[in-house]
Amino acid sequence: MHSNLATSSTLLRRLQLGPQDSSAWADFARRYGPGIHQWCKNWGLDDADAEEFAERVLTQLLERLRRFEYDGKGSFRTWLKNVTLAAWAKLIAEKKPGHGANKTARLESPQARDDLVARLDAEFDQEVLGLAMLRVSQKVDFNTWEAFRLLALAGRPGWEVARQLEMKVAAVYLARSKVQKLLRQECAVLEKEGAKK
Amino acid sequence: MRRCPERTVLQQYLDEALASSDGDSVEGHIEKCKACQKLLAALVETDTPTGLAPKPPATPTPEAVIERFAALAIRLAHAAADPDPGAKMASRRLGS
Repeated sequence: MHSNLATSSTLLRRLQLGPQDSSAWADFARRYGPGIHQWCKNWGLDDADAEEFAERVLTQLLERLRRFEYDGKGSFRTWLKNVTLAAWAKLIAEKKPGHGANKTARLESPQARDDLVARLDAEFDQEVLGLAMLRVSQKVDFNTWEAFRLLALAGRPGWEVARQLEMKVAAVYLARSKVQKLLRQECAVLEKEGAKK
Repeated sequence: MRRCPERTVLQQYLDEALASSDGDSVEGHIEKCKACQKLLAALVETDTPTGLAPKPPATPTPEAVIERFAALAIRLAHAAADPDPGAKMASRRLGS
């Protein structure tokens, strides 16, 4: 079940279904860790401090994700936001005065807090979109997917894509439009998975 | 179709809301009309889901750091699953 889940569900869903699934924890750290690391660096920490502080944020996040029982009423996105805010508040409250305290001063501002929430929210967008793309690519025919991929992801001009795929120019745009509509539907489904009906 | 279709007609084409014959004539016109190709591209572009082409960070987090984060997460997962392995071993010894 886990290998199937790994490619078909969001990490928050995987953590909800299997709080002891260490591969889900590792995948969560791989996906969300870099955003937290970048956040630390953007708010003034050097490489070593950023890595150390990012580990503390990740630890708080993961412990809270495990402890916080997701009630299924809100979206996973809201859950992630609430957990992030709580983790940030805990780290700020834990701050000890003395050497090194000034280093994290900028991370304590409301702007830094909102930036952290926004970065993790954007990462969640990326995760949901990636899973939606996987699902949609399996639902549409090769040319439809390729037209979308070449136009939207590779940034190729319509006439060139049409020539490569031996389609009409209008048809390649229609294909992209179809895939985008399906992506939006799948994203909505993924965001609601796990929520109580 | 000689004249360029209205913007609303192009949107209907993208929504597959045109009759088959009308769709065919729109396709035929667009094949030869650069202005309509441009407009159709713009209509599709505005409908793009958020985050489809994210910008990578200027200095990405090194792979070794990412793997350290993953290793930390695995340690936390194991600690959560078995919060006090020492106590468990002691109780096993007492039981034997």
